[in-house]
Amino acid sequence: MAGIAVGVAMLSWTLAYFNGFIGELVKSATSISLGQIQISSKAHIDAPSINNTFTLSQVELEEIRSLDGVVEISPRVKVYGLVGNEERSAVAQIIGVDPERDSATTTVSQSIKDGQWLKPVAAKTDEKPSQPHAVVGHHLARQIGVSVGDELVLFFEAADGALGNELLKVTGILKSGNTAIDRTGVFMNRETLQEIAALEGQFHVAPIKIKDVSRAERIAKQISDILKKPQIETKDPNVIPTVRLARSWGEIIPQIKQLVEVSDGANYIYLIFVYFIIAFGLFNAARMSALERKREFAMMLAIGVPRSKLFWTVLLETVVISILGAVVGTLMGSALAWYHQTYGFDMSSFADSSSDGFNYMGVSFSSIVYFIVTPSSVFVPFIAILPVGFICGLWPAIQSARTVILKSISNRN
Amino acid sequence: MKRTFMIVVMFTTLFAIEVRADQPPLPKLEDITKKLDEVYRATGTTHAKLTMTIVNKRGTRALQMESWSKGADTSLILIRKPAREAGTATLMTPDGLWNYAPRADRLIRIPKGLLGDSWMGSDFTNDDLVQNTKYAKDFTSKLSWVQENGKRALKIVFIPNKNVPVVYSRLEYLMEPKTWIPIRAEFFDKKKKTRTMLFSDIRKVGEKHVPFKLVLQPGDGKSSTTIQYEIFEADVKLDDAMFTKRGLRRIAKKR
Repeated sequence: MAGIAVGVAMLSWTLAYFNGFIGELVKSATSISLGQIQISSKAHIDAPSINNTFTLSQVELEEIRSLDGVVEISPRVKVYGLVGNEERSAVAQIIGVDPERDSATTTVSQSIKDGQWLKPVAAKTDEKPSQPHAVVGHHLARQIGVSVGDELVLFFEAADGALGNELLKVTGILKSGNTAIDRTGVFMNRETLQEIAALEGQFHVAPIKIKDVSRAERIAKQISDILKKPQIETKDPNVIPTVRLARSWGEIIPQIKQLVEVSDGANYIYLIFVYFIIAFGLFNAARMSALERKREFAMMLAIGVPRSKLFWTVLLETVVISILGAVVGTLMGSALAWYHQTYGFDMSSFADSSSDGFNYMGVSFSSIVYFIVTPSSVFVPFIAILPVGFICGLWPAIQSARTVILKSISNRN
Repeated sequence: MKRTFMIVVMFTTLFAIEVRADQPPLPKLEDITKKLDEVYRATGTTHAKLTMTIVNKRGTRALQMESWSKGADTSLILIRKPAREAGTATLMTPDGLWNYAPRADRLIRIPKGLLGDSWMGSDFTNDDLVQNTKYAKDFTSKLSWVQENGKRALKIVFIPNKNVPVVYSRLEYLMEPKTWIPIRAEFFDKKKKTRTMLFSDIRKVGEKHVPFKLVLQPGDGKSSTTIQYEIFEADVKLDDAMFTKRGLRRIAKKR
């Protein structure tokens, strides 16, 4: 029974761990910048040029925000250009965001290493026509030699072909763990970037945060339906007819989606493997137990106990032991998994000592993994033990029921 | 061989072409390559006013510019019009290449890795400005007579030597037989033509012949950049201080 309990506990705990690990990977990959759902024009997906933009009316934005499960949407402008100073410069992706909406949509604002996140334009009213602020990825900042408080020149070709330029003030240095953002990302206020880039009212991507990652596809479909509706503000000259797509994270980063699918398959292989070991032990124990009591079974048969009753007694004994072991194991495993769900499981001793966490497929995430206890992590190991107990008890039960009374009583077999 | 001369033409360094009517039918290869290098690498000073017209899928954009140069590797180009871009400038010195951002009132250095990128949104590249290869030294060349539109012309094919940092695998120049002024230049990457440069509107400036119109057409045919000189002066008096970062700022602010 102890073996079953330990096996079931281990399985329950491991499944919750895998859920947490994969969840952390998906969260890190999507929450930093991509969003669990993302709107962009089809043209931008095919060729991410500055001119491949889309518009979203206020009505559409509110409709998307009001959808069940949607937390926030933050339309962004993204252009590529040169940032730097007289001494050094580098190519960067300059991302224009609404600071408050973006904070509620992605975790970029929480990844500030030095300084602070962008302030909304409205908050600058008491200042003179102030220098636009910028938050720079830490690798990029090191490459061009800027830190908080320094100036940063921005130079790029705007959407109308003109040369856009601006002097920015670095207010924050970002360490997001996302390689692309840390090496090339410059975040600034969206309205300012739209003005310099001649992109008023237009966006390149709109990340969306949702409450439950597993509902991404369903919500993406609902958003696609909203985007297919005829736009109300069709007289607006800024409204450019374009094909707008809402894609779930699985479509944006299919490699991580595949990893999740592979991981689900791996979970089942692991489950089968562990249960095979449990079954081997259980079968052996049941068989030995039945063999040791063969004389007693012969006595029972001799005094008139039907063979079928003996069969069921032995079988149920194994099944009951399995159930008891599974109950204890599920309680133990789930309790431990719940503890790690609440307080996290520190895996820093397994992580690369040079980084703050794990880096996987260009996405880094914390070395503390928070488990996710789900009904399947609790009940699958429990339910799966029942057929195992039944099968393992079957042979000893048959053998017991087929006991030859005289031979067994006289200890001749 | 992306070191195309054309930009240099554009940026005024050029034009020391002499009329060589007394040349034999096929001039010496060394003479002509040397002359090409000399043509596009003026040792004196120049000043020019020009209009650069960029035609691409976004439409047509015309920039009025003024440029000054001293020697082969020092020049300053300033956008005068339209107002939105007025003041934007490029400074090239032996120490590097900078763009002046007027809204920011700051310079930004163009890193070496970006030399292949578009210059001011045109079909020219930053590399075209910097060009530091020499035809006589860095290329293997072959000269021949050809018939172009029923007229005799000189054709010179340049193949870059090994380890010469150019992106073209072959360059073909068609030149006027007497003045050796280029009529057309074609750039190839393997067998694919990646861009064509057309020279026309030849005018005499002092003792030199100068193509006042240059048209650059990338191989995809989707865009073109035309440079038309309105004024071109050679051997003008220029202050050395204008080719400094401070000088650039001063000139750029005088829009």
